[in-house]
Amino acid sequence: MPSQTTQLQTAFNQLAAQWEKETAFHSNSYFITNHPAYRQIIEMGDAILPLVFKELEKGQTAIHWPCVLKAITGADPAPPPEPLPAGFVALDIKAIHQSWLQWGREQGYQW
Amino acid sequence: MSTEIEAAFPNLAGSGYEITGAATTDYNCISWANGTTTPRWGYQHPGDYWPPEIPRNQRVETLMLLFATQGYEICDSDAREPGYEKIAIYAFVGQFTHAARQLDNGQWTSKLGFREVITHPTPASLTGGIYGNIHCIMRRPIP
Repeated sequence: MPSQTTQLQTAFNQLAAQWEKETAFHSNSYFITNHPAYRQIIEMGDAILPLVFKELEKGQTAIHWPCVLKAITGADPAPPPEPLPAGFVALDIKAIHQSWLQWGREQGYQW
Repeated sequence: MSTEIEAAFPNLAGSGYEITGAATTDYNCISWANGTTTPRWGYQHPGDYWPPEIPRNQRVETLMLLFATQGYEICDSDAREPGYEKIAIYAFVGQFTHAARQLDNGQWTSKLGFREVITHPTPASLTGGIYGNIHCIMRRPIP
């Protein structure tokens, strides 16, 4: 019989694959965070955080995993956006990923 | 060609579409349709740009209003018209999903979310998939 950890990982992997596949061509978090798989991932709670950090470290999606981390932990270690001319600002996705990975290590998560 | 792209957009298969730009998170379809790669246009993430006078919601009318502030007006046809540049706005159940821009040669170009940039023969090439259907075509005079 699979352990509880293995069952959790299997369920997470299935949901993550479905979520990423079905929202891969959206840049708008309206569609990404209204997907049923996102809701199910959030409901899995902080037990899945090491798995989320592992996905984040792959760097294959932009805003999926920061959305999950923020929803589960309530934290937001992302750096403020860089100001650009004419009132525009630039969002550095890589910096956001790195700040979350650093936050995870500081909180003692291992993945 | 990409099987992943064709799975998401079934009308692209066999249409002669081409991948013309690599996946990037630096800009999105709305930026690209508006002819720019900086900044990323949106209203949900810190750092996205959204004109302050435009409502912050996903209604397709909101995106039309956004492009109206950029000089676009609704038109009847997606055919090439000398002196005008055109965009196509896509929607699914009343929510905007995507915008594409016509090129000088009459083809259309789309940034697929945070994924690749493609050219496709018509706006209809991207219908029937996750972007839903074409809601309207808009045009503005080329300066």
